[in-house]
Amino acid sequence: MLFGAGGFAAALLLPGLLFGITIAAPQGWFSEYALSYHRLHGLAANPVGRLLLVTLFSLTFWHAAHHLRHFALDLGLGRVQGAVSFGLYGLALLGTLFSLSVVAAL
Amino acid sequence: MTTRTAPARAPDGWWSGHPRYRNYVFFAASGVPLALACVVLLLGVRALGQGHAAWQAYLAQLGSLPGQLGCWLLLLGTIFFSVRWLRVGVKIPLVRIGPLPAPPAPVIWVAHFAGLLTLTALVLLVLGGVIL
Repeated sequence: MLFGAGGFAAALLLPGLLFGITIAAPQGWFSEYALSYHRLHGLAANPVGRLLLVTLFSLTFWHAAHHLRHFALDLGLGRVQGAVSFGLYGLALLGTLFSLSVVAAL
Repeated sequence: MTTRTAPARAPDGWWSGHPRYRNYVFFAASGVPLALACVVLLLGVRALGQGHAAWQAYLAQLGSLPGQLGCWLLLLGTIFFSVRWLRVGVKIPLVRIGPLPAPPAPVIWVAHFAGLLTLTALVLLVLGGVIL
């Protein structure tokens, strides 16, 4: 469930967000008004923005962990499956907690 | 008395033996750019929470040459993941709604990619200040 939801959330939303925030914004392809701190803070900090951000990031972390766990098994790490799962799902949990704390501090 | 047999083991370097295997392994590895993309975006959200100066510093860091190279690589990895995931998604068994027949695969394929394009455009219009 988390895997499928995370896959679709990441596939549908991440490319646009990543392009807009990490490439178009620093290159100045958006207007000054669009990039103003108060506008973007307002978008991220309203209840809908907060919910979207936490959902997108946490689901994507769980999806990536599951994806990489299978990758590790395919590469022959089946004998240490327990440690691999613990490490990757632990990182997904940390990512979720980090998302919650960052969004709560907005 | 039983004889234990060793579990089947893929030969070393199996993944480089066929383009389909390589494609599969790249898809599986695309979890790395996905997670890193989330971390980079979360750092931006954290900068927004820390104030105007932190946000400007975040944008300046991303705008540097190494920052842009890294972001383009993450974007390529993320787009690769999206396209592969949405193509695989066509094969996921559909939830049937009542007596309605399941739509044919090409319809689902078009719906997935139309969703990707629509949401990407929507996100860029919002970030670009055209909407909201």
